[in-house]
Amino acid sequence: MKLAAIASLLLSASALLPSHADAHDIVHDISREQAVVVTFSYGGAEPFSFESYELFRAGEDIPFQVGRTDALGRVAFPAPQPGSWRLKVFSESGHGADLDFDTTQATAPGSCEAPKLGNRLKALVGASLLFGIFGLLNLFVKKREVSP
Amino acid sequence: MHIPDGFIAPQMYVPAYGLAGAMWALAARRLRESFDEDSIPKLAVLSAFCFAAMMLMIPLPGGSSAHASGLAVPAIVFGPWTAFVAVSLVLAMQALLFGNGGITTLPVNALALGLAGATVAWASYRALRNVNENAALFAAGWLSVNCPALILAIALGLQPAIASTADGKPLFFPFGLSVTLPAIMIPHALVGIGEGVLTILIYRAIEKRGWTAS
Repeated sequence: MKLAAIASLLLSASALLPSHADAHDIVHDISREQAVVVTFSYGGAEPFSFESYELFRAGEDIPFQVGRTDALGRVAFPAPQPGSWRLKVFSESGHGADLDFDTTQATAPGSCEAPKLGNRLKALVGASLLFGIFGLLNLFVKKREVSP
Repeated sequence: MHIPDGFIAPQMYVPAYGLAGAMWALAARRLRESFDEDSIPKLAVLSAFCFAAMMLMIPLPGGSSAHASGLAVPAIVFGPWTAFVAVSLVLAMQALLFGNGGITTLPVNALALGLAGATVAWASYRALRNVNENAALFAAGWLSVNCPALILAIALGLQPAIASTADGKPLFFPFGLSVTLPAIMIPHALVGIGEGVLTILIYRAIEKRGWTAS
């Protein structure tokens, strides 16, 4: 009787083995999905490639996704539903960005693209503004005294 | 070289705003006492040059990028306080209008580049100009890049120690000093060579126009 009980227990345990082994099996599924793609570059030219990033859902402290940008400086993620996100990218040398953005409008490729202003144009605009500021400042500084 | 928003903890940028505010007030007072209408166009040109130099990124080996700062020349010509104000204005415009650098990190960037960088450039030029003026200009240019780079590397490298979660996860910037110091200083040691040469060329050009006599 005792032997029969042990045997039935062993049999029951062996029946559980396959499902136990399943828990360690990583299954995969390959599919094509639409992704949100954020591209980073140094001044719009060199890609910010192979640098670390952390992606958070709005208001959450645990990242939704972490990793490194690809060779073209891109972070791609299939957003489960439209909403607000925070994306932080950083390099060891202190370069990076901390973005808050909304994917609600990103229903078509490129539709959520940030406005781009080339660095040369920025330099030109900035220099012009500086000349304007110093021009205004010129109205308020003291005149150099001219000796008679 | 500017640190963007989100990389520096409030424990650092709030005191930095206090310190930078005091330095800006002091600099503005000195500027008001010493400045006249002849200096304005020259400072405008040199500030615009700084702005343009900081906007143009130079790709570096290894995939990173750096830029010149051009701040040694205004520091030598007008002194460190005036250069500090000019560079702070440039950094504020970059942060507010173009998203380069950051608003929370503005005082850290301004103190490192504008105050420390300009002071070291001015002091090294003064110390070496009687030995060899070209060497003095080169040293001023090299140090004007590398002194701020060292300060910013330390500021970034301290972030994991300053602001982390209870389980040790850094909240603002994940790399410590052992990573930030070589990652920032090695490229800037190279960039400093270009900055040194640029400082000599720009200084000699404005010297011919008689700007350095004022």
